[in-house]
Amino acid sequence: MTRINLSDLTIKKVHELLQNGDLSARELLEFYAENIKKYEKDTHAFLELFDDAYQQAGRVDKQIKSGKEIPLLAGIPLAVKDNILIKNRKCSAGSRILENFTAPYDAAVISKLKNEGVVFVGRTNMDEFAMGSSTENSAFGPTKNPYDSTRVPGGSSGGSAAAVARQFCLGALGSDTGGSLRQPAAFCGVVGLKPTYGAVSRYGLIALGSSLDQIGPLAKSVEDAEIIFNVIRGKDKMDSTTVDSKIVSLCEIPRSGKNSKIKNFTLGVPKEFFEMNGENKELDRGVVAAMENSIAVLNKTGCVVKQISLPAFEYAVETYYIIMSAEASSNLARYDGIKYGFSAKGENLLEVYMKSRENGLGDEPRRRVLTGTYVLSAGYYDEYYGMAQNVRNFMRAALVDKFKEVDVILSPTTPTLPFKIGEKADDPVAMYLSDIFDGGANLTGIPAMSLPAGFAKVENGKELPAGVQLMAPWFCEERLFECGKLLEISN
Amino acid sequence: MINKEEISKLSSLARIEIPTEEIGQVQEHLSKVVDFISKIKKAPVKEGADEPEHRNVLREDGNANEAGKYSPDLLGQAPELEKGYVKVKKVLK
Repeated sequence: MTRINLSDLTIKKVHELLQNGDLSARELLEFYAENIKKYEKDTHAFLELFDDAYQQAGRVDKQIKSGKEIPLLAGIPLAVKDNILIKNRKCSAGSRILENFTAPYDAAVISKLKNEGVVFVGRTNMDEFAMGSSTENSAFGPTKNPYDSTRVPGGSSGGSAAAVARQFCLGALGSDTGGSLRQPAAFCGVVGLKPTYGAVSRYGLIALGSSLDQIGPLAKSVEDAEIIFNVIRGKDKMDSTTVDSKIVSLCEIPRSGKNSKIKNFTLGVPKEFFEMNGENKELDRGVVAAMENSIAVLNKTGCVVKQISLPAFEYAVETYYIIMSAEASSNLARYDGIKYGFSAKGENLLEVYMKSRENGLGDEPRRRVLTGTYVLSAGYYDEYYGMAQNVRNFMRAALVDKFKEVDVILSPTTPTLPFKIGEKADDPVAMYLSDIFDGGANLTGIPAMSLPAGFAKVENGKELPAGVQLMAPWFCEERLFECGKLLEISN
Repeated sequence: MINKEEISKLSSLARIEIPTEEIGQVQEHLSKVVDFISKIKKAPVKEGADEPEHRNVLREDGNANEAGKYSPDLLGQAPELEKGYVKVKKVLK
């Protein structure tokens, strides 16, 4: 057995090694297990490591020995966010109220990955019910940034992003309601893809905001993210928002380059993302440098980068927090201490509800349920929820127009570099602004991908990753992959 | 600023008990959030911006799965059972 450098591995490389018999799936898993043993204590990416991982790998090895052609993802170690159901495994969504909940069935994405022969290494830490941007809201303690353990890995899919960055696995699944794949990807220096709304089934995903939620991959490279996405996407009768994969592969909006002299992409950079709402204008210098560097790289490859204006997006975060909280207050109503999960004692039924939810839910879920209840309550509905739906339609219409001018939109993924643990813990609004560039893709349904765009030096000489985000029209994920690869090679 | 009465009304609507000693903090945090989202009142909105097309996707009427197939697994997670039913505290006084 040859020594393998995990950081060089890609899904395609591993596939070849496995198929040719140069490496067994069990040996591969051992390499990752070594890393987990060394670094997990300082990272806390996992809530549970699966005891049957070697058995899963063994099954793939058997297939290879019997001379079978194995699928591309067979034997690939992946981690799964703790809000995606794996049959007979615990699934807690990072919450006390589901601490002992055992999944009675496989999520649609898990069935698909099981069919490929993926090796699931464990379930990863997350902000409770995917509510947060730092994993500090996990009921089971925060995950730490792989580049600086005093800083956050982002969230809510922070455990998955940190696990990929730390080489605990080759890729991971996460979910994204308002940036929860992309923001941690940026903070951990990996690739995170939020697919188009309707591209991937959410059957078996613990819901946060049902008109916003998508499952997507976290990976070390654009190619790996693309491979995982192509396996998990497609129509599923258990999620009626999903679309036929034949349609999914068709991007209806033509690329500008196809009928013009421009060989490559035309990218738009929205000026509102730099001067939003008169506040939070100050992008970290490291983030600005990542943007400038990306623009230079794309210019060199023949892309045209131009400034665009999207005034409808100035209120994206406000709109997002109204709609998400409203939907969360409804989705979380099911956690009542009666059917499953944590249950508090009470004198009567109402007291059981009230106390179970008081003690089972953490501060942020309680806050969002209360906020959602507020914006939906009589007298406020039109002012908040109704208004937010109008803005949302306005944003969508603005994008339909804008994508006639540009093929892809480029922006920073986050306004800052990874922040310190505890830094924003007492100010919910400051935390919300960490996703200022991300919620727009969820509100409008377009696909968006964050990818690493270099490192920035901070105090004490440490280097932290910075990310940029690409956004494409509905079901044009291929455009993200193509453009992402252009950026990736040069970075 | 959201007042204490409003907090207590929300608490009862949302079925989340808020202990007296935490009301102040909940009030403070929630007020910050509401102040923040209230800025949406200034957002530019075009009247009648196109709504995305929605259509219903319904399955054939009938049993989605064999009756009772998942019952033991699902009931097994309930905090209290009696004779195959989920047991709750009395509803009426």
